[in-house]
Amino acid sequence: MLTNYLKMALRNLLRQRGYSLINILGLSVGLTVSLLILLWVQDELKIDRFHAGGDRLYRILANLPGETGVSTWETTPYPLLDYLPENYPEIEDIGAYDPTNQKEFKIDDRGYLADGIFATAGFFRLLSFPVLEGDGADLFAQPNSVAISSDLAGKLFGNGWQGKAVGKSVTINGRPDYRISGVFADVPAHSSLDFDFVLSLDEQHPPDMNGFPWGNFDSRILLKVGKEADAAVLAEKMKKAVSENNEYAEDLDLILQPFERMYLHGAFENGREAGGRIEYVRLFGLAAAFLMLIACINFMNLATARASRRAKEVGVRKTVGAGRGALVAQFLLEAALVSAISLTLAVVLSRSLLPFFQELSGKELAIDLSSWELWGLIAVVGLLTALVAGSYPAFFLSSFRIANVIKGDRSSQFGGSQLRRGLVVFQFALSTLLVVSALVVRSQVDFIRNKHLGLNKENVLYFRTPPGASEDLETFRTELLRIPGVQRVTYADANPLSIGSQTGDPKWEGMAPDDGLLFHVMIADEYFLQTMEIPLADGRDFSPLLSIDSMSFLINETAARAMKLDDPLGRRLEFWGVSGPIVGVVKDFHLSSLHTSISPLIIANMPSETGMSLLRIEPGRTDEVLAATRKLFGAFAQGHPFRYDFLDDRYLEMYRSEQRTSALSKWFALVALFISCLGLLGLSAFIAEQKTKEIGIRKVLGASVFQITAMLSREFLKLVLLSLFIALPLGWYLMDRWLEDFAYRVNVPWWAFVLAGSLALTLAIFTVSFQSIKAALTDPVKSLKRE
Amino acid sequence: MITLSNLERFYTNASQKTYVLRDLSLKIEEGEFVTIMGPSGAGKSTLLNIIGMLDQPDRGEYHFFDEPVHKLKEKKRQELHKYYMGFVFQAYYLIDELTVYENIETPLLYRKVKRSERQSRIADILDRFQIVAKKDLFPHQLSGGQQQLVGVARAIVGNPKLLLADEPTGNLHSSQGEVIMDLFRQLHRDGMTIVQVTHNEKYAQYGTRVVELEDGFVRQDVAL
Repeated sequence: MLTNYLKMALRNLLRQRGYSLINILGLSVGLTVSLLILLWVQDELKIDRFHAGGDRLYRILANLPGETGVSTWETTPYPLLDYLPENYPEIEDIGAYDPTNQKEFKIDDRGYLADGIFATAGFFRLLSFPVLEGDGADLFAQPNSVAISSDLAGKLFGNGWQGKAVGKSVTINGRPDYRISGVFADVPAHSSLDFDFVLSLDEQHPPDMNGFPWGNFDSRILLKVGKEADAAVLAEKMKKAVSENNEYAEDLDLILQPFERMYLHGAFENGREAGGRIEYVRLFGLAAAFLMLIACINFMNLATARASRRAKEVGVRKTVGAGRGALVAQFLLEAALVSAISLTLAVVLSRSLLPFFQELSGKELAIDLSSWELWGLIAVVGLLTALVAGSYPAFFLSSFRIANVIKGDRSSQFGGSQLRRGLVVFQFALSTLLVVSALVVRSQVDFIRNKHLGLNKENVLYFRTPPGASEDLETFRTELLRIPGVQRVTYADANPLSIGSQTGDPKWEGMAPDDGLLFHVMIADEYFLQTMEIPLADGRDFSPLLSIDSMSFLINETAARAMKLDDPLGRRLEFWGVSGPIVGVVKDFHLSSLHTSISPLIIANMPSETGMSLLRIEPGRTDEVLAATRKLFGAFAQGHPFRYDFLDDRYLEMYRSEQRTSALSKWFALVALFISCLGLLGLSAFIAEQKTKEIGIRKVLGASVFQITAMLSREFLKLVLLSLFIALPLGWYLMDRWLEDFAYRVNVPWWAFVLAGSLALTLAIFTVSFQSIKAALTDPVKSLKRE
Repeated sequence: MITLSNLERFYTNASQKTYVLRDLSLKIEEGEFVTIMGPSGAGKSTLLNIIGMLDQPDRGEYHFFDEPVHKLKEKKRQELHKYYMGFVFQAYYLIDELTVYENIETPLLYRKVKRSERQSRIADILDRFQIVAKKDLFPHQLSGGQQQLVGVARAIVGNPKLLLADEPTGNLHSSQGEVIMDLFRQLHRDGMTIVQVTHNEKYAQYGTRVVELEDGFVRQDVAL
């Protein structure tokens, strides 16, 4: 029986090559995209899931109510590390980490740059980063210890580092007295934390500022609850742990988030989880499902449209004894065959597209044909496709009544045409929706790219100030300025478009007792504003001539407003143990992502604390300046490598996920349109075929080619127009919501809708008229004779 | 074998009833070879479809042996149809995508006949109809007469009690038609009950009885 069905299905496929091609092509393109997306989704869902006892791991976050709602910090005060386990026995273990800058590791004359973190010994107990060799339970028991990855160990000591690395001393950023206390296995790809070295957080932790350690939010704390403990109960109990110890943080609440959710659910709004990367997982998953659905609709539509051809077979089979179940099974098997062929093609196709997709998605993915997981995924996708695409035609076709079929009445009853129309509308509405989304995302990305940020990000080169220069920054500055093409030089502690350092510590003259505010802090020098081209709103810039300015501050307009100072100039500001007057207010510039509003900022004039050099270069002289700077750097480098970056490049990198979305959505939209048009091609070919006789008669009666083309196309174009009426308003609504995530955004651009609409319509007209004109041009004598 | 009493079949069109069969009663015994004749629209095919359980009457009773067909559920009717009846059509209705062999095999597949038995039965019938050489050809590679031979082979391969034929020779020329009718006569002699619809007076003579329909009534019922 099965062989009979299979033979039948194969012969059918071969006999109707055109339709089979449309079906298989559409399905395999849809399946390819879906497979790739599913691989990506599967990979995302695996991140941070490999830690032993991961279901009992939590991270602590701090919720602080402010004027614009509750803001959530990933960092909490360091003293919690002792305080929490002492007071809450439910906590089985606790640890902390904090990311740090890239550092240079050097042994003898070989130096390597590595990314790393600070962490406590508890970090290694909590998370499954196995220590391969080392001092024992606490890698940081001795001062100046550093743990390195086996990869870094390999670089420093060669492949046979085993037994050689631990106990050796290593120079880190020019400090020679570090000792390697352990080597841990390379961080797996499915870890959201990535690091090649770990330094002691306890050691690096800044001394108690003003003897008030509870005011510094600088540690990312992880904890593991006991097997019997209830995390929700614990969270409720420890909620006030900080506010009990910090009089300035009365309203501050601690919350717990499962560590496994950190990667995908990293965004917080009003003190609650509010998405994060999971939104992309959902968005792309949804897009993949849509594409599959669009491809399945092609299959359904063509199968039901061509039902009249199969009707005879159904009738005959029923008269020779086929029950309905047998027929359903047969048609499902046919769908399964088509989906199996398409799936095979899709696997081949996705393997060859993998490099391209990796670049698009920025993720290392593999199609490993020996993995069960992959085959499971493929089987599920294949079965689902066969069921979605095949079940409607199967039930539809098997329901034909024999008497009618045998009588040769094949007109209206084989329609299902109402449903077919609905599906075409659905298909085109989805495709248009995807096109609209792609265009809107693109226009927001363009907006980000070209947005004036309040400073001039073009032509700014920056690099880590070489160690030889830090003793005498003025000499280094003078030397840099001598390079032709270098216009200005400033020192700062961070990329001004992504200021990381924050503090709630500052107190100022005229501050109301409970007016605590969270400030971004930028450490810079007297040339910062000039170099970055940040205009002043009030007061004056730091002056190199006034020695008093070595202890003064600038604030931004937002800070002035938030501090509720009408006249901030001259007021004293105190934080981190230093105090000085506010000498000027700068116009707001963007300190971080455009997703967030500009926050209050303090710029402190402390050149010695900076560490980074920023150069404004004359446009067009980049290469020249770069070469000369590299040379000069070498003279001050003391062996450090010259690593540089450009401000505008870095800025764009901050929006990588938006750019990725933009690129991916473009492809989604194109593929969706392509598949929909394939379906339309098949349907219009079928209608033209069905109406051969009518066309012949009309031509004999004197209808022109144009009239006939119009007659055949009208029906489809009506459907496409209807789908536009659904898709465009829906797209408007959805994309407006997407844009709400940006504090700075474009308005939903009207032209995106015009463009998407006309694109869908033009493609539809083109596709349909291709068939219609062909039908209209056929010789009526031939088509009538056939009857 | 077949007892039809007071059958009615009508279509309702724009609130008007059009009768196809009207108060029709008929009895057919096992072993008969009945020919149904009549002008177009007399209800011949409808009657044949009802006997073959492909269609149901709107009113009246149908007993097949002792089974009250008009009271049976769809599923049970299908079973009766599957095991007791063979159908031959004017337009042959072979499945285009299957070979001669596979076409003949189809009813056996639906009857869940074992493979070895299928092979021997099909071999028998191919032999008997002298179409062994054609077994791997597709329908479009055969002449009309040959296609109808396959049609008859397919209809009887499952050993039905009743063979129903709706103008089996309607699409054939006379020489081909005679081959089919000779075959029917042979089958009848071997004990098969046959009901055929035809327009052809000559082919009616092959049977044992002629039932003439007009406007849904039995106008004449003559034993030959």
